[in-house]
This record gives sequence, C-alpha cells and structure tokens, in this order.
Amino acid sequence: MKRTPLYDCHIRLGAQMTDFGGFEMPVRYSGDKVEHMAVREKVGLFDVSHMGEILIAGPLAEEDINRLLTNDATKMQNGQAFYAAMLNTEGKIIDDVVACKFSAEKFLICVNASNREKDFNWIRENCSYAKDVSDDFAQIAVQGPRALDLVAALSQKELGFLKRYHFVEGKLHLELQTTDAIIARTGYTGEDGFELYVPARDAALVWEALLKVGALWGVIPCGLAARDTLRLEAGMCLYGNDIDEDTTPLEAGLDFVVKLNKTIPFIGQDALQKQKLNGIAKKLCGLRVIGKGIARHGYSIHAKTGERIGIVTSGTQTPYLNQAIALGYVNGTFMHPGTEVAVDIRGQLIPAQIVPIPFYKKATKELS
Amino acid sequence: MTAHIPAHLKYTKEHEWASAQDDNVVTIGITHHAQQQLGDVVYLELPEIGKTVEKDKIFGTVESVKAVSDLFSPLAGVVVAVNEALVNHPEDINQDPYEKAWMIKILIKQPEHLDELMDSVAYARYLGQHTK
Repeated sequence: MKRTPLYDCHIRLGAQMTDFGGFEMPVRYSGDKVEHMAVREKVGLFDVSHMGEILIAGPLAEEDINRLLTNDATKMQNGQAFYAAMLNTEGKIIDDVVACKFSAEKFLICVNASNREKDFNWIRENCSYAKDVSDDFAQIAVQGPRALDLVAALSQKELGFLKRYHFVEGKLHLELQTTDAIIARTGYTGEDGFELYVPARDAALVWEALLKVGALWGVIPCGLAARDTLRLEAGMCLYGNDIDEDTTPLEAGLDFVVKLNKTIPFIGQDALQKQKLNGIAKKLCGLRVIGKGIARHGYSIHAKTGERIGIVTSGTQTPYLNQAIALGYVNGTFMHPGTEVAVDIRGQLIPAQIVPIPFYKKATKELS
Repeated sequence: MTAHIPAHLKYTKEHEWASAQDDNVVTIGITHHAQQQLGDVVYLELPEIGKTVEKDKIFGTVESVKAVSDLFSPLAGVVVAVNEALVNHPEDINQDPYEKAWMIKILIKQPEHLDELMDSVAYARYLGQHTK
C-alpha cells in the first residue's frame, strides 16, 4: 500500500489508519463528530495527498481539456479552477475532477486517487501532452470558516479577494524556510476553505506549521470519515459510490458542469444528447430517513407500495444536522422532493422522504 | 495507541467482553478496540429481557456514523437485564465501553464455557496479531 508524504505525521498524531484508493490514510484522529464540527465551526486540516495531479500543457492544452472534460475551459479565466466530469464515449463517468487553468497552454487536473492510472491512460490517449505529476505534490485541505485566517497567516498574503474556485501561486512561510504553493479556494466539505498543493518534500513542514499557527483558531486534523460526512451533507458526489462508469452526469445531477454548446464537443457528448432526448430514467436524489436507522450504500429504495424503485449510493447520520441522510438513484416519477418512499434497512422498510440536494448550505445552517 | 484491556474480563475474537458474576449472570459489552474501530456510535439495538441468545450468534447491532456492525454473544443464555439507558445514549459506548456501556446481562447455563473465552493477555496478543 502507498503512503503519502504526511504518513509519519498521522502516526505521531495517533490517527487510526485505513486503506483508501490504494493509500494508507487517516480515517480519524479524535472522533468523527468532533472533526466534522471543527470544519463547520472552526477549521480542520485534511491530508488529501492521495489525490492525483495530471499536467496538461502545450499549445493545444485548452482544446484537449475541452475534448476531455464536460465543462468549458474557454469560459474560464486564468487562475480559475473548475469542476467537471470526464466521460467515455458512452457518456459514462470515468472520473470527476477539478481542473486549474493557469493559461490556455497549462492546466493541472486533480483526479481521484483510485482512478489515477486509468485517468492518466485515458488522458494520454486523447491529448497532445500530459504528465502525471502526482508524486511531486502533496495536497492539504484547510477547511472551515477560519481557514481564510489560517492560510492568510501562513502565506502572509491577503486572500479575502480570492474568489471561490480561484487560485493563486504563492509562498508559504514556514519556521525556517518558505515553500511554493498553489493556493486554491476549493474544497469538498461545503464550507469555505483552501486546498494547498505543495512540494512533496516540504509537506510535513507545511502540515506542522498549519497545526501550530492554526491552534489560535482551534484547528484540528481531520480524517476520511469526517471528510465523507461533510461532503455528503454538502451533497457532493463520491466517485465509486455515487458516480461511476455506470452513470452519466445527467443522471448524477451534474448538468451544471455539462456544456453542450462548446466549439469542441467533449467525448461522450453524443451519448448525453441522446439520453437527454430519450429522457433520464434514474436520477440521483437526496433522501432523509424519517424512521430510525441509517440508509447505507447498497440498500434498496422502495415506493410506499413496496415496489423497488432505486438504490442508496451513500448514507450516514450527519453530525451537524443530526439526521440520517443519503444519496441514491431513484426511478422516474419518484424523484421529486417531498415524495414519500422507504428504505430497506436490514430487512425492515423504514420511511424516508426525497429531499433537495444539498442537505447543508453554508450560512443557512438548515436542511434545505 | 494501545487498546485498554481490563484484566478481570473475558474476551471474544469479535471484540465483545464478558464479565462473570458468581450467580451465573454474565454482563456483556464491546471492547475499547471495537468502539475505536466503529467511531462515533449513533444507534444501538438490543434484545428484550427473556430472549434466548446463542453463543457466537447475533444478539444486537451497533451503528456508528461510519458503519453498522453485528453484536455476537460470547455465551449462550437468557437475557435478564438490558441497558436501556445506553440505547438512549449510545455515545457512552465510545466514552466508557467497560462500565457505563454494558449492554446486556445473561443467565448462562454452562459456566464452564467461560473458560473458552480469551483472558486479557490472550486478547492483547490477538489484537497485536490482527491489527498490525
């Protein structure tokens, strides 16, 4: 199993480790709820170095990106990051990614750990120049309402101007040295925050500095368990659970990153257009369990009559909302918010309701 | 982090503990290691008083934010007490797995089966072999 450059830091902090995407990753340090709440109320640190980074460069980079990804790179400014899906010719999702546009000639695509090799092979086949630079980078996510204070302190930069889904290249000031960093105002928690791409060799120093300086704002290290409940509350998809090569972005509700009117069509566009025309048979919906129990990945969803109408893809008891929520694919007429359904929780049909995604929105703090 | 393993208890491979009283009543719960692996517990389902439980068979379920897990009875017997307070406050399993978070008490028929369970030393060794 692979380890990130922060492995020793996790062990020193007493983290419980688990296998995730081929990496030995921290699942929790202090507790899932405590870590979840730290991100909603203060600030939390995540090692996300397992994520892969692929560089696409050269005079054809923007064209290549627009062929590979569903979003429109030509509409993005330099210094903007954007979410997108990468599809196969059938319109099914190879991966969901965040791309950073440095210029029309240079993009960095952040991919899921478990898909790194598959993605790189696919990208290489379909573009003029690509390089897997995953091992050069460590990635640390700093998430929560105080993330801005913490990252601004370490970069000695006013970062309030930086819009969400934008990034700057800068330096982080560590105790005895500085290090380069791509500072992106992105995240996977539904909270304000940053993802720092730093050289792998300096990762441990950056991590230590974030913990030390961040103590002022109550920073704590957070594991994959909290990352999962946070992203689920925010209604964000997890590749391998909610989306995969059996689903299209239209089914997954990712229409907002699917641009069908680009000058260069993306791979899989024909298939999506056909699907749009024929109608979408299943759709990813939010679910709230009304009875007692937690709907989990793989549990079946039923109509009130008992008829099977779908399947749960992710589910948990969310610490912040303190409710059992889930994402799942539901057929046809049952996909509208307010519809009463049931989930088969270990042999018992427990009442649930279709609700809008996201479950949690920053600032409103309410179940939407 | 080393798992906390009290010397006076008996243990199973499924990470339950059993504590024998002299009147053939055995108290059952899950170990520190088990709660640590589960993370924050949110639901607990326990059997009713009077129900028969079988050795190594499921007597309840415990569910954390992260996962759901079956509870296996270390011994055969009849349930004579259930920790209802724990069902309402399952988070106590994380706080105090050996005292406050006892789950059920059973009246056992074959006290000699207690000796088949691991003692604290054997359980510590078992953990060492299976968690590295």
